[in-house]
Amino acid sequence: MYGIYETYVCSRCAGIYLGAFISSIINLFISKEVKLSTKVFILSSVPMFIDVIAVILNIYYYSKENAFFTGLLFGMVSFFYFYNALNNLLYELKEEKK
Amino acid sequence: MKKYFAPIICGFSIGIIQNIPIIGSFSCCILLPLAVFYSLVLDQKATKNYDTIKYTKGLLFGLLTGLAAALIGSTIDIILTLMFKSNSFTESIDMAIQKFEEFPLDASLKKLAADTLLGAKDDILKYGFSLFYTFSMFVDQIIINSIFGPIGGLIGVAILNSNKNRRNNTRN
Repeated sequence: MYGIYETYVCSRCAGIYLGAFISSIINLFISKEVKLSTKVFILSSVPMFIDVIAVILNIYYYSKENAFFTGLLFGMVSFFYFYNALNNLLYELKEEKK
Repeated sequence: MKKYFAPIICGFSIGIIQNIPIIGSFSCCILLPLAVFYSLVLDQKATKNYDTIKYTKGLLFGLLTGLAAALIGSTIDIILTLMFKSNSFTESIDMAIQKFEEFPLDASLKKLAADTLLGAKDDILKYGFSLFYTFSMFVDQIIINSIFGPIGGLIGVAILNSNKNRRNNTRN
């Protein structure tokens, strides 16, 4: 993406994965349970969708930077939903076993 | 079977969409999880059951949507390749082979991989079909979709359930 550094996935996906990775590290230091709000999720995905639609409609050309940073924001927020969902899934499976 | 209509229909739709140029490139990380989320909403509307959704259901819906998308997406890709004797693989493979040179692999291995891929490209250009390409694309689709589908399902259930919890809390 920058100079010699390359990823073998697209910029948006790289942003999403890196965002999720950053959130997972942040999550290690947060003792409180993060409250999930749909508004935050929608707000975090709006820039990415605007970017996707703008590229599809040829409003502007695909930019690696735009794709990366909008993906990063989305990845950071979606990790908390995924983490919460995974926790609940494990709890659900434990309850079913009992 | 009836209760799995929603994920199968959404999977079929995504299978078609992922073969559209440009839009298709967003299919794995954006469109597929979105389709799974929509299948959960669709199922709620069809069954008129707006209770808290089980996470295992989200996981199952994600997997089914992903597999349906892989099946229909691969089938459409095979048909289009047969018709046009060209696809995104034949257009981009030369560039991918150039990238092989940067990989820290043995030269003979790189040559073998390049020969196999160029063989598949030739088969597509000549006959519109390559067994190697068809098999690897199908396996690739199944693996990717069975990862991103369940992720979308879990996130979708988390969103839908968080809405319900909030509504219940405000009522109480």
